[in-house]
Amino acid sequence: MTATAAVLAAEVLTPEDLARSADRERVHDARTGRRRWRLAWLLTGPGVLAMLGENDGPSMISYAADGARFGLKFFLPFIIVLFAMSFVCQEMCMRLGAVTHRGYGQLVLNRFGPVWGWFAAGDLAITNVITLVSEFVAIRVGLGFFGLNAWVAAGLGISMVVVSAGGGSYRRWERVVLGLALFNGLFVVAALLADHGGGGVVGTAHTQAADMHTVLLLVASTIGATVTPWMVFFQQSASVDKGMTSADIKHGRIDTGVGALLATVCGIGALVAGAAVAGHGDIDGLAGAGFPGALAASSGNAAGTVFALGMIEAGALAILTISASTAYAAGECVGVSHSFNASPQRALLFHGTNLASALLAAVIILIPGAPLLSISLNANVLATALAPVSLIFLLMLASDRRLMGDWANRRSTNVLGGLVIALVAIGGAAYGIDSFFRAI
Amino acid sequence: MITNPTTPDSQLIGRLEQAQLVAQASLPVPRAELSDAVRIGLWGLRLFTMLLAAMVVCAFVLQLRAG
Repeated sequence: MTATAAVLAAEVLTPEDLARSADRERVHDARTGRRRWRLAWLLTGPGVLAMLGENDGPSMISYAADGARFGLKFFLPFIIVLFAMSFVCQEMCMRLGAVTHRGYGQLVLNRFGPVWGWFAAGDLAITNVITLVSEFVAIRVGLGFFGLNAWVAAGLGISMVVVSAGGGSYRRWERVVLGLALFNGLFVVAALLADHGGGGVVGTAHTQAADMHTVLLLVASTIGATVTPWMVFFQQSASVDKGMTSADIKHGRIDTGVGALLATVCGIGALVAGAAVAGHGDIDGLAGAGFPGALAASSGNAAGTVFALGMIEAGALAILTISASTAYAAGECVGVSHSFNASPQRALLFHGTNLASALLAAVIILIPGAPLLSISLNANVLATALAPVSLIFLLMLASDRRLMGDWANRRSTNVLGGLVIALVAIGGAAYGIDSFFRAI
Repeated sequence: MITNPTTPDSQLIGRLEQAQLVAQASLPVPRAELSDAVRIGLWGLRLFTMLLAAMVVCAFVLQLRAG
């Protein structure tokens, strides 16, 4: 036995280590057995979930509203560019996790000090809870189409958090959530079912006469929401929890790229479905709670039903991924166990935070008279305002040769990353400042 | 000490790299050595973020008051 192996053998292995080792055994078998498709399947997860999680309830309503008001000409290519920007950032998250085996929160805390570390985790927790409120609202919008109320929405969201996290296995959690994520494709189905007035999709490429200020604001807010802090925390921590290593980076890029592609297609689906509602009523942001009904009125019950189901899925998926990102951040910053591979007893803070953040948001939507629309709108503004902080630290960490060795960012990646950060910062600042001056 | 991630002699136990073990991964990495320019930049970022966040909170409170 070599000296290193002796040291490793002496390490106290936790159940988390053993679970992760079993996952890695499967990856090793697939890799050495040259089972390429199985290897790709085993390494799929964090990227797809981060990207499809970003297609959350408010985002899909927003895409649909854009389609209804402005048509497809501008926003269709715009969505493609947005997810390309997301890919640049999320690839760095995956690479950081695979190389350092540490989550984003832990790295920021260690490398830049407790002030920044706790600030990052704290602002993530606050924006996540607020965002979770809008996800529960999205589920309520979807369920409302079927005559079900807020209590059912709250119960559904919470039960999904509990069921997915049970079992003490990251792999199980990931596969359950991936299964749910596939239903993001319902928006594509809704687009296919939508009635575009006999002209097909091309025939809906009209634009509403909109002032430049409105369009610029829409662009700014959408750019600002391209990469949100929870995505950064989530994908890096999930890559670590999954046990990814530098040998998996190629597949991690594929996972992230496929996630971006799927999210783009599903986002375009919502945009196209929304275009069918043009002229059938005023749809405005999350106030478009009647959107599934409007789609049913314009295109038939099937289209409305599918879109409503898509809203439920979008909200539920985001609840699972956003709650998980909060839990990862809490565990990493406090320095305790933070893994789905750990049982609730061994990772009390992690599992407790995962559940508590969703529970808090669920309670808020049940409060009579709670300003849910205002909360939802400002959640988006806050997330976009705070995103540049997460992205700047992400770029600094991914460029750090001492941390990343040969896997540090190349100059081209830094240039692209810097450009994305600049656009997100400008978009977020413009959106935040405009929201402020509209309110005063 | 940060383990060189590209060392070809990484040892595996089970199928985990040493650095993946919970006991190893929980060890803190050293603090980054930041130049003065970067420190000033981060302070500027802190101010930018706090200002924006304050504006968002104000907007929210004003919206609530407006009903």
